[in-house]
Amino acid sequence: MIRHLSDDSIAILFLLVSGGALLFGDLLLLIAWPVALAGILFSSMHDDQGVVRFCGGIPLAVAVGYFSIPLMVISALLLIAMVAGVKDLLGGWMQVAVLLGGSALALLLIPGRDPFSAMLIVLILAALLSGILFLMEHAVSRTVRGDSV
Amino acid sequence: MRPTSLSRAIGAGGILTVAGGGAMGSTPAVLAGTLILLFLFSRAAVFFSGEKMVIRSIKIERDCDNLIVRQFGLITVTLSATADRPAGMTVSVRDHPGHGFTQVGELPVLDLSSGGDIRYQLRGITRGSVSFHGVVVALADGFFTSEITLGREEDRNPLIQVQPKGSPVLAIGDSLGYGDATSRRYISPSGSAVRSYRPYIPGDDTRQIDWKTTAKRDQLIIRETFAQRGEIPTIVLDLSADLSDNERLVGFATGTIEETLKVSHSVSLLVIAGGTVLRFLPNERQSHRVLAAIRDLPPAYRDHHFYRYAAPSDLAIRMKAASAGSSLDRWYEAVHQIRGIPAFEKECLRAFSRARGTSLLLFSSCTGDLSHLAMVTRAARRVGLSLHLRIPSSLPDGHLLSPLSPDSVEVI
Repeated sequence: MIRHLSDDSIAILFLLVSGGALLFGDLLLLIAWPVALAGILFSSMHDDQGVVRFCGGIPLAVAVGYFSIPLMVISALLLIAMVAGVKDLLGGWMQVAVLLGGSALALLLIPGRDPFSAMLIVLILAALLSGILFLMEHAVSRTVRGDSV
Repeated sequence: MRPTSLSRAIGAGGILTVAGGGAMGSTPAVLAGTLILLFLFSRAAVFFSGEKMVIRSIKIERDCDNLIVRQFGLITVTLSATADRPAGMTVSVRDHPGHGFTQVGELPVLDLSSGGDIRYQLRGITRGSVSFHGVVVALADGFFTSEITLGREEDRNPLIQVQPKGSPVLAIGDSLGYGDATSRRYISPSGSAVRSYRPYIPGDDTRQIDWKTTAKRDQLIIRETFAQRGEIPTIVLDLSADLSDNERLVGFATGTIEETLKVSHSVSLLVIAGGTVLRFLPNERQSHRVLAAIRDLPPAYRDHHFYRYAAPSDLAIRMKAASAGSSLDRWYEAVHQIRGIPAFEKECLRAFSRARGTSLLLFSSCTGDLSHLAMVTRAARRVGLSLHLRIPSSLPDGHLLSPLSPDSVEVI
């Protein structure tokens, strides 16, 4: 059942602005828009308002990046803060360190590089990090189950 | 660690943006996607450290009102827990009793933010020393949830001793077997021969407390007494359609077989489901063989129904009531002469003669049609066995049991 949520109008506004900005940039619109539309549909079905803002906001954050890369970092962080809340964006020193360190590294490495190879590196690193997290979680589960580690 | 729908959307959005940006040569898209993924990993790190904090600090305290119980006896468990709770994370604890117990009703969930404790009831099913499996700690924040089973030594305490419930066969006038809260209606506890003494277990009959020894040792002591006649009991297990009743009946029959084989040199087992004979083991001396025969019993089914099967005495009463020479009278007489002994009763008779027992222990839920039980009773009476009835729940109506006229009835 699809219902109209108050956040849908915000997301549609995001889409229109980002669409206008991206139309003059490149064809990324064809990827970013379906993502945003899928998010809107998903959130309407599951009544999850955070997802609709987030999916509508991604194309806008990307569009801002075409004007200024540092400004895009700020807009992306703002988007996340809007979705998750400021408290979850700065949840302790560890998260701040991971976010700031990672953003700095990404800002230093990605802009000068070929986007395709940058994409490959980011996806491989993400897969590795997910694997490490899974193994750490598995080790914790084994310890507390009473198995030998 | 499981993602919530929000973090799934963030992850999918991040990956798609990075992939789409890379494929179309858009550096801002790759960067935006990277930032989104970074945020998700930072939340995962926060969740993981919170999870470790909870696991390190959690202290589970589980109290049971009885540490030694009879099989199928009730245990009231009180569970409390304390832990350091990370900000923004909800922590709840659920007990995980394991397969040795069955829970009575729903298992409550202990929310650590509200504190306090939870109380629930279990039944001890498996005999012997049974420990809990542990507790399940459920953690959740806005992005991830996880359920961890804590099964360390300290989370599995306390150890519950579940004693068998079955009691050996006793004839009228013999002593009580050890330990039972319920009354044995037709058996007098007097005239017993003391076999040994042991500490009191909740559920034991208080009449068996030996006050002299209790005063000497300063703790409640029970006299253990056993039958003196060296009886060879025949155990008849009548499976019903109700699975939970069956479970209890099989549990008690198993306990009884084990207890009986301690004092008698052999035991006979007849397993029936309605008018169908499923197993017969005459004069078995090895308990493991009898237990093996019980363990893999097929699901109960009834091939033959004896719904309102009129006993010979019933027929005689009806024949008297009908006017002599009437068609109804002739009909009853014909039925009485032609039908003879039913096949099931014959089988029972043959089995009981072969078993050469002196008493019969009938485990039945006594629900539904009891005609087959009347046949078992008649066969037992013909061979000269005393009948002891064991029923799992409260007694059925008196008029249902009256045709059986058992020598003793015990609610198990």
